[in-house]
Amino acid sequence: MDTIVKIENVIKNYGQVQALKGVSFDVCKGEVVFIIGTSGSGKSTIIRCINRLEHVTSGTIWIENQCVTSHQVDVRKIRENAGMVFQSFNLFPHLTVLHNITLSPVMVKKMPKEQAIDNAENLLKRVGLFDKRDTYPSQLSGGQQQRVAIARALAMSPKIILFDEPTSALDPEMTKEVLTVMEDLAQEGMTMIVVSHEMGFAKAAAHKVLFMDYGEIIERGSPDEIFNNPQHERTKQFLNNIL
Amino acid sequence: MAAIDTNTNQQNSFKIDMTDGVLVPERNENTIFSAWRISFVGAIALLFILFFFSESNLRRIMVFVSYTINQSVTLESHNNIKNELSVSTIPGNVFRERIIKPVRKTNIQKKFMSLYMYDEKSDIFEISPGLSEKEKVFVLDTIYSVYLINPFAEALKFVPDGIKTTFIVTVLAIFFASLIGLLVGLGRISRITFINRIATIYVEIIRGIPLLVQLFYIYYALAKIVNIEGIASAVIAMSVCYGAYIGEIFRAGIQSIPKGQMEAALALGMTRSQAIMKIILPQTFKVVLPPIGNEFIALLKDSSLVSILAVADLLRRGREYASKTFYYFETYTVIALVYLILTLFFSRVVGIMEEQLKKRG
Repeated sequence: MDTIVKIENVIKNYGQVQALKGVSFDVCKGEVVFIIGTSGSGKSTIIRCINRLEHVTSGTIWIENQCVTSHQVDVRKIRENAGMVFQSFNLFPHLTVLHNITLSPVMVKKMPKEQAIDNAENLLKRVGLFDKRDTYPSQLSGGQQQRVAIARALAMSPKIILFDEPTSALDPEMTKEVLTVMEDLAQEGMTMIVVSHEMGFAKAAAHKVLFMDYGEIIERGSPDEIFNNPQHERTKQFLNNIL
Repeated sequence: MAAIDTNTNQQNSFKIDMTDGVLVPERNENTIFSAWRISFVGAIALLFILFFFSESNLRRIMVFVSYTINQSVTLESHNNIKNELSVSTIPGNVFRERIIKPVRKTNIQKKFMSLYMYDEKSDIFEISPGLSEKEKVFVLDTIYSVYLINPFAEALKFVPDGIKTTFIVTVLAIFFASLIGLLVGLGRISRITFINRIATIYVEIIRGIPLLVQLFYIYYALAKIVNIEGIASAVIAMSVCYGAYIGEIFRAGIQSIPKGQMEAALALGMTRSQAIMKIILPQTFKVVLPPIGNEFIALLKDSSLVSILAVADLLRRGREYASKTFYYFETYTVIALVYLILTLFFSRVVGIMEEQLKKRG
């Protein structure tokens, strides 16, 4: 399989604090990669480095043939290719659901408005929220908001989508509706990097699981290997605590 | 579907509490709203009462005097007037303030002085006996002109003219201050160090100098370099001063928008300036509207400071009027009431705006 994201020895410092201590991994096209670990272990930081919401201190990140970490690169091109879904949804509260989705394609990609609306309506059908197209985010439940946020990320036709704890702010029922959408995406062959603790979902959909602790990946493998037969002491401890 | 979720709070309900203007009455805040209603209705009613019903304690006599004058003064009526004036005591202080002082300022002083008798001990005013009819008319006329009119109603006459200037200064200053404020607010969050420094230094300097001093500075001190006409310098000083305060409100407003909004916009490929224009500022306007409305009211009040320049605003017109007529009490009562009614009116307008914003979420 083609490698689509290549992360090599990434180090990220916040002042004196070292958040990432040399993280390396590859993601292949169509792969779903799960990153698990305690809070503060650097799992959010690494995916925020991939679309350059954070800039690495050293190391390189490649998305296909673009070097994310180079200073010459057009950051906006990278972000068009790497969509992101946030824990707190971050829908734009002053815009309708449809406008939330069409804004960026029209403004950034210069897509004709009619085409953007068509596209957005198709995406809304896909996440099952077509009837909510003209409502405002505050009128939606959390699960619905997160599904709109996924549609919004998809509207830019990204090559990969980064999920930063997409279900942590949701109750179990809402979590389920969001996971269903994500599972569909995975089956359609979307490349996804997911920071999450939804172990059930990881077992069902992930191709690869990375366990991070104190800014390092200390164990990696298939879901089966990590969940059923963890090698590292820290991993065992962590899984015991959350399962 | 239930519109309840854990993040509604985070995304939608921001309010910056700043009350250097006036209390902004909203319908659901009972104490403030009823206080507002009492003062607003009270102020209007008081002005109304003063205008139509006030009379000085001498008014009754003067009505009689005017009646006599209109009948043309005869020897017979002279006696009546004389009796009436000497029998009813005119309080000495009122007499001195209202008749002697104004008359002294004019060149008819001597002539007038010889026409009456005033006994300070008993504090009684009397027209000198044996005046010609022309002289009597003169005395009565003077007294009449000072007394008969309702001083509150008179004092209201300069109000429309003064309010016009106050409004011109206020509206122009609000416009330019908002413009400056927006630029300063954006400058304060700018990542370009130079722009950020300039904006911050501007805010620091302007907020450190009293508005009154700034007014003097632009009008008098800068006259050495450029001569700026009254209203223009008033508008410039007020805009520059309030621009700094409003700039800080804009900055606080922009920074109150959750960081996730900017991140989401950037993650969708927008540039920082696109994100600010399309995502951050539209939300900021909602947040800052109430405190800026409040600032506008404060500006309306502070516009009275420009009366120290050659700007004929409400307060200055009042001062001119009072120094001519010596109706100090009446004039300043009217001025205070007019300002109060204006600010209470606009504070309610701001309150209504806030209510509308809350309704729309």
